[in-house]
Amino acid sequence: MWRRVLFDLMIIMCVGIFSGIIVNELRADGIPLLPAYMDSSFHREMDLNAFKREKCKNSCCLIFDARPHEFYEKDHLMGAVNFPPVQFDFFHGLYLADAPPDTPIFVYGRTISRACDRELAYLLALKGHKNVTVIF
Amino acid sequence: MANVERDKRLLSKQSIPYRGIIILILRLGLSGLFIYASLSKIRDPIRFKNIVANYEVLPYWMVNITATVLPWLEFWTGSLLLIGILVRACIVIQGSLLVLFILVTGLNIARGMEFYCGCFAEDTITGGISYWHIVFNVFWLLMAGALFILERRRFSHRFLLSHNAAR
Repeated sequence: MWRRVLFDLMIIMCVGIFSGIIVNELRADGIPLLPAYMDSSFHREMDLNAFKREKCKNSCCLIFDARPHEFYEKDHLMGAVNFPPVQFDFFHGLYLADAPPDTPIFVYGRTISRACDRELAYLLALKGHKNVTVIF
Repeated sequence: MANVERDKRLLSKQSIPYRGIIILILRLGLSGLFIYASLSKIRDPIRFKNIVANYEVLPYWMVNITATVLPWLEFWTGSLLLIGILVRACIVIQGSLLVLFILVTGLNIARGMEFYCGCFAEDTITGGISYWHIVFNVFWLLMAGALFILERRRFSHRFLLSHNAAR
């Protein structure tokens, strides 16, 4: 009996997976199965200790906390400003409207299910910022 | 043929009154719940993607895949259960999903996370999450368990009002 149930289970799983993927591909507001910001070629990565050393050398850098506002309110790095990627256009106009493309920008803010840092770094790279570093 | 005879004997031994009607009610309830829950998620995948991310359980590269597939799994299990096809497998999937919801909801309540469950279209951030969500899911899990025990056939033709319905 369990073999039959397992076989049926596989059928339903396949139907669910395929219909989900096909409908997602066909619809205009579909979401990418793997986020575009998975590609790390758009930015450099640096650990927190290396960042602290770098910050001492370069005092004119910008530090962005990419997490949602409530996370930023609880705790953030000194000197960091909140820049959630979901409101990218607003915050880009606010902080980076006149910034030259080679301004050193440091981004952090990764949680288990959200790679806000990578997403923000990706969006900044698309806007032409060439010196974006993700702190992990 | 021998299997049919064996199943008939098995069914005749189970003398639960109104068994067919109980099965029908359970099937309609579970299928209605899952179809209704899936529709708002299918309608707005971006909202559901954010809800999945709010749970902070899956790694970020799995969030979009889950948000794409899960609503359709809910929809198909609900639909197949409604028309009575592959019934036991549908119940196993629905039960597994309910156990998963109970675990992640409990985990996030224990972690003190501020989020909302997003199970239905009317769930909003102001509703928050509470132990009632766990109680609700446990209730439906018990329903699924009861249906799994009562329904022994792969296909529930004629809405199971007759004990002698074809396999």
